[in-house]
Amino acid sequence: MNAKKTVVFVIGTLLLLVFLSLMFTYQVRSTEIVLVQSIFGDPEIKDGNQDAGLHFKLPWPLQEVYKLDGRVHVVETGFDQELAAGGETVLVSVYAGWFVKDAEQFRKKFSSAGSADDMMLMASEHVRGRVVNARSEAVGTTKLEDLLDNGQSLYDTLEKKLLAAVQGVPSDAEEEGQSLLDEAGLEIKFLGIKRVGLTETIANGVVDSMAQFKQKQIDAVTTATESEEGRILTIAQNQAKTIVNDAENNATKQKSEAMEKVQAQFVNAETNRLKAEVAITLKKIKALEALRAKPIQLIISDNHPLFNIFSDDRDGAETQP
Amino acid sequence: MSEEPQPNPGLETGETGTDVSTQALTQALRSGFVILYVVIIILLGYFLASNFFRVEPGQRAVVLRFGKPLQTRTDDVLKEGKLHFAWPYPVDEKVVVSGGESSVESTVGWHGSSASSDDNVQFNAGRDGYVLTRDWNILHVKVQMTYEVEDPIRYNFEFADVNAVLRSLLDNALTVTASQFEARNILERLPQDVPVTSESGQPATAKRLFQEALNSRVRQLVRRYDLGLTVKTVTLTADDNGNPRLPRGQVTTLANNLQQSRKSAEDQIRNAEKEKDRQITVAKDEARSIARSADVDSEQLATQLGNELRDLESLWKAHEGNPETLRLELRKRLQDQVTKILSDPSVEVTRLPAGPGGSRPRVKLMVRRLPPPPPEAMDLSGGGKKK
Repeated sequence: MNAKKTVVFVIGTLLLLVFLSLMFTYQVRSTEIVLVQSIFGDPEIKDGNQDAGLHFKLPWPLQEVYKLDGRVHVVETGFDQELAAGGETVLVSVYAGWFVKDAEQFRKKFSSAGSADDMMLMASEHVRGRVVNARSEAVGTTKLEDLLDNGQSLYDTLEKKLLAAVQGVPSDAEEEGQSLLDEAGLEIKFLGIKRVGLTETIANGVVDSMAQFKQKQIDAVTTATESEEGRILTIAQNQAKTIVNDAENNATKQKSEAMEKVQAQFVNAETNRLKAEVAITLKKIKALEALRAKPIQLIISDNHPLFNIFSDDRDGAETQP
Repeated sequence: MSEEPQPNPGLETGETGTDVSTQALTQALRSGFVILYVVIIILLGYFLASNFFRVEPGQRAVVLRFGKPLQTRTDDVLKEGKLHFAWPYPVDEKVVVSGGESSVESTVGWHGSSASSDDNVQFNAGRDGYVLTRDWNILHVKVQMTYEVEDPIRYNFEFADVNAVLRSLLDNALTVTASQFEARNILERLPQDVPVTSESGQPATAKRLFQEALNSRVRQLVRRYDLGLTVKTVTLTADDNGNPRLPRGQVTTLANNLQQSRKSAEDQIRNAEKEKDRQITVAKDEARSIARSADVDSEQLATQLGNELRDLESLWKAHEGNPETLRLELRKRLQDQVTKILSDPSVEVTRLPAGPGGSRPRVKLMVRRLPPPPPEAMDLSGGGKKK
């Protein structure tokens, strides 16, 4: 019976321990922020980053434990239209990372949601709503052309504007830096532009102009090629012509020089009229010699000087070809 | 046990039956408790043994004791290989954490699924992702970042959805960086002046490639968001070669045409250069031919005229002082030539009658080259095999 009692005792003790631990302790995980509300005074907050582990509490209703997700959550807006400062419609999507900074403020703000999970969902929607409003406000004071033409600095400025607008300043703010998000126990860890786009009409217009630009480039390439080709061929023709002309000129010069040399000899030889006539006659004979043994037709008049070359008709002799 | 009653040999009647059953019950209970102890010991053994575990290959794990991580440093995180111990829930809880190398991709600048990446599909602003460039152009770009988890505790427990954070971060880096670059510089990987923050924290500009600037922006955001990871690579993965693309459809088609035009232009210019070389070569050949011809002509002229001169001098010397014999000799030679021409079978002479009053007809002398006779005629005239 002693053994039986021992077993019963052990099991009973274990059950008692479990029951008491449920009543008097709670766990804080590293990802949680825990708010312990007490009827005796101020609530106690345990941040999982520093206070993770097992903690003591008084049983309900003396103390009540609220466990909240202490991690950074990301909300994204849709890729929606906004009106930029220049009047252009632009599509912008923004993301923000937020977390519960003050569990007590958070609980006050979102306690109507009920459970901790529902409070987190409500807070997420709250942040999203603020980001959407901030997007309209910030984009409304920024020109789209500035956003593109100036690059990163303007994006950083826009993101700062967005952050300021998301945080908001309460109308009854007493301290500098106090924000509407503080009142909800929330803080933004990071915020950025996810995507920027144009409306369908403008985007299609941009694409059309890109297509036109490409077409112009094609035309320009074609024109430039034809022009270059023409230039090269013209240069080629001119160079070729110059080469041939130079060669012909040289040839002519060479022949002229040769002729001049012979002429000089003839000049020396042609000392009187008779000798000159003899020379001319010899040339005629040579010319006639050149006609021989070739398939030719001579059409000739009866009184052609060919047949009376030494006649007295000097005119006829002089006018023959 | 010593107090147990001794068996009574006289117990043969029902008076002592109760003692016997009590003994049997006691014996049964004792056996039952023994079995129970054994079962409890086995369960305890199983309970203790089940608290030992191994981490699966490629995984890392952290043990939470009452929700508090026992391993807080990267080096302490449990890895595969060793046998680890953890008390059962709710005392301890084994949590598998992400670690090692992972990757994330940004597709906000891409045009949808790969199935619709055909260039024939027209760009649709409502459906396709894209980025805007500094010069108001639209490009399709896709980026992949690979990273190594440096602080698994922060990476796994600080963020509700760390992948969403990384995707947003990458989207932001892509959108912002693309807005600083002209489309051509992105497409052709050319450097461009972009705003940077100098070491002293002052804004400045520096020449960067798109990918360098993107890489820099990603690393800057990772540091700012304090994600507990180290960026390994930031890679453009838009097409097979990782190049960003123009809006698909008409622009891409025209861009391909432009590329084709440029290639054709290069070919055309190359051909023109070849034609130029050819023409110049031909001209040089012609020039050489002319020069050779000039040489030959000059030489022939010199030879011919030299012969003629010698002939003249010889004739002149032979008839020196006697012009009449000289004239006769010349006439003879001339007549010989005329006779030879007139008797030459290949020369056909057509004599035109003189005009009225002995005037000459308009045609004085016409020399016309005749076409060569046909082969048959040649054969016939030459007395060949054919008749």
